[in-house]
Amino acid sequence: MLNLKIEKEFQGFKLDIAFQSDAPVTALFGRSGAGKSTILKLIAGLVKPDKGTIVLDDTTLFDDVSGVDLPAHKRGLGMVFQDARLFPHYDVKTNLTYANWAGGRKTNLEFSRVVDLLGLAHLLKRQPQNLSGGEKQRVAIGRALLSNPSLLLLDEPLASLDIERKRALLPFLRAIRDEFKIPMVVVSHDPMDVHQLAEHLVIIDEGQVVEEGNVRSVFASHAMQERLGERNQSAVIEANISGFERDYGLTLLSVGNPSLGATIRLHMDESTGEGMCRLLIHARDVALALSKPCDTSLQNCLPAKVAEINVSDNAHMLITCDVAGQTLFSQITKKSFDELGLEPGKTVFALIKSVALA
Amino acid sequence: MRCFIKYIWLLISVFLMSAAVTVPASSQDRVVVFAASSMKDALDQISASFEVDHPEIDIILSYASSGVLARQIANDAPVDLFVSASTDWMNYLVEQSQVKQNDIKSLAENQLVVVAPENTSDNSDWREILERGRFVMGDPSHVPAGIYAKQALTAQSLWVKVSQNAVLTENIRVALGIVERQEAGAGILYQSDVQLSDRLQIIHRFSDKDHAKISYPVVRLNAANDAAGIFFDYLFTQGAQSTLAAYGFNSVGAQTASEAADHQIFENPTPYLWPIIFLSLKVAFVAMLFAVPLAYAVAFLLARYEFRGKAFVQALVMTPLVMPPVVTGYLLLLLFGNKGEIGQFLSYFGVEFAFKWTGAALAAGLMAFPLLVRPMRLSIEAIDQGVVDAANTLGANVWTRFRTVFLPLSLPGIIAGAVLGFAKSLGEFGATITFVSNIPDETQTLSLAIYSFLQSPNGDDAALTLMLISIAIALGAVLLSEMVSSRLYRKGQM
Repeated sequence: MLNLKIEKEFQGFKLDIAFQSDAPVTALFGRSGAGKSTILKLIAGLVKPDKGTIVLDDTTLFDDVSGVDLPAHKRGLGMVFQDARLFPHYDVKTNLTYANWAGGRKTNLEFSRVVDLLGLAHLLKRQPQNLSGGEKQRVAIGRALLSNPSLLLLDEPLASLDIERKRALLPFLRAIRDEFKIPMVVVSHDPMDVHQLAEHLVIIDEGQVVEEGNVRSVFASHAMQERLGERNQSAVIEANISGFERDYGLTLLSVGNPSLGATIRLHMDESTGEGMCRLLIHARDVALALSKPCDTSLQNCLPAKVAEINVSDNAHMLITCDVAGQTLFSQITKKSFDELGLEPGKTVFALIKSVALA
Repeated sequence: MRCFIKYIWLLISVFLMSAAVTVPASSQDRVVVFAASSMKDALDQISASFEVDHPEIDIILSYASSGVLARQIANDAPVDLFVSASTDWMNYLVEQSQVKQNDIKSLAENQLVVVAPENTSDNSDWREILERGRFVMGDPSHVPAGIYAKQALTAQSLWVKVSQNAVLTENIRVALGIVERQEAGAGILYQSDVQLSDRLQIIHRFSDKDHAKISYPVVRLNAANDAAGIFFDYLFTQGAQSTLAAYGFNSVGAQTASEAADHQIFENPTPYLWPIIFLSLKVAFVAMLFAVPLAYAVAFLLARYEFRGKAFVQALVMTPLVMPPVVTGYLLLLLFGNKGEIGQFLSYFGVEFAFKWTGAALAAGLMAFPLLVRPMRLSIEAIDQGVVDAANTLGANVWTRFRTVFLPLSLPGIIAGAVLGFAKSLGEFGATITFVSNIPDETQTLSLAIYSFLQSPNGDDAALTLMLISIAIALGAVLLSEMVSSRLYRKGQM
């Protein structure tokens, strides 16, 4: 459990932040310059707050009232910086083991397991300047992991990477979350990065917490939609695996109670049989119909109720729908809106073109 | 506009007028005289009274050690008259075909004396004083006064007993200052030098038989300059000779110096080169041993911290680079000498700098300090704070961060600084000679030895050998540092 309540003023910028989270992964999301990275530095002990408290589980890291200010090297946290910050004068292996031989930290993690998971085995003898951006970032993650951290702080771990490398690195981060069970705080300016990792989302703007909560509720909020922009409005839906159509390689996911008939069919690489999944659905991928269409290739058709109607731009409307108690957005043209005669409370069917697993 | 042009014309005419005023002065007869430093006060007064009698003649006097002047004359310096403090340098010019033996005349003679500080309570015999403690004299390897002093002490069977007490100086005026400040108990000087000071007393006069005749030969070099002939003759008039006598020189009247020129007072320098090289390396190495860690600390402070008076510290560190070395050397002598505050304090702990090789190392280290700090500071400033932060979050405390991040990453700067400083220490001259003098086997490092050999008419070969060696050492040091740093770079340090 991370409990944070801090104030910090510097260079005319005021940071006043309070949130708490016991989620495996907490994401701090906001525009660049919102103060996200500074929050990580405050937690890590690299920047001193003006006042407030930082408490991790039972340990007080900082408290201005009682005068506690644990120095960074004694906080036992792992930090992964945006620009990797490997030691240029040590090879990869020496970098990875730095916390052990220089910081005197013992880890229960097996060195070879971390190396294998991050795909670093063939790089151990290399010097950092001979690594690619993605490789550097993986070494930095491994180095932080092997410092036996009670909390892992990741500052835009994916931002400096291209799409290709981002795709390659994400599974590593998920593996760390699921395998090593080390709680993480991830900073990102891209919601498409964070929704895949985090359960708890904190939106930061101009040094303040704007919205906070689980990923689904934060995505449904206005604050989030505002920040996503016209083109990217989307919702996160939670669904349970309720069955399979093995002949087609599809997994059946029910939103809410299976008896409601809100079922999504999806091809999943790693189908585990049971459990909850989070799906990211863009508003532009959701069409609305007044009756259930029968002759269409679209398989995903969810019964929904119109909850809210907003003007999106000159030609589009944003319809907020309620699907079994969860929020789904649909972006349709004004013309369609007029022809369908939509109004709040009206029952519709949401037709979903594509679904991304979150 | 017209007004402006008028103004310009006015300026030009003023300029022309002022030029016209100086024209007669430049057409005045000029006599350029090169003279040994020991003659300065006497010759200044003689030329002043000469110019009263001969306002049309301008006497320009240039003083330096006889050896320096003779070598400049051998290289065709535009000079009319040369007054040397030794006949050897006249003979050197005869050999170089710059002067004819018959043109050389003896201007004056001098006497060698032993002096002690005026207010000394020590009434012991002069022999006892020399045997008991430190005394100063000129360096017998090339300073004429030192050569005579060694001859006299040898004649008195004292040289073997007292030579280890001798502080050898480059310049007899420096020796005089040392006795005046009581840094040494006694000094062997010329009678003419003692005349200048009221803080010295003569405790012994050597007899002429103890040493070769101390003669000041003079020669006219430019037969075409009539004014030079007039001044040359004036030097032997009653008035000029009595001025010389007033300054402690023995008047000789106009006599040819040929018989004085028969003997050679300079010994052939036997260059024991290894001790000189070894001493130079030792001095430079010890200087770096102490200066490098200190310089790194200062560089670290300047690179990483903001504090009040930082600009002052920065300027202070750079001063040895811009201050005249002789000033640095003299300040060191005042502070670290046996009479200096710090010198006295350190002597309680058995640390002594004055006229010791340790002092040479101190001077070298101080002069090299700015060269050490600069590359170190730059290399520390180049270290990414982010990497330091990373080490911090990985559990490294202050000392570990210093050991595992700062030190290895600034190593190229440390090496570059140390090599530069080492080369500077080998070459240090001005501050060293002023602070600890030029004592063979004690403070005579490479450049001082080269200088000494150049002071002697027979020292050319030894000087050249040492010059080549010092060039080789300097080149070797720089090559070594290049190799080390390129190796570090290959390893991926930066």
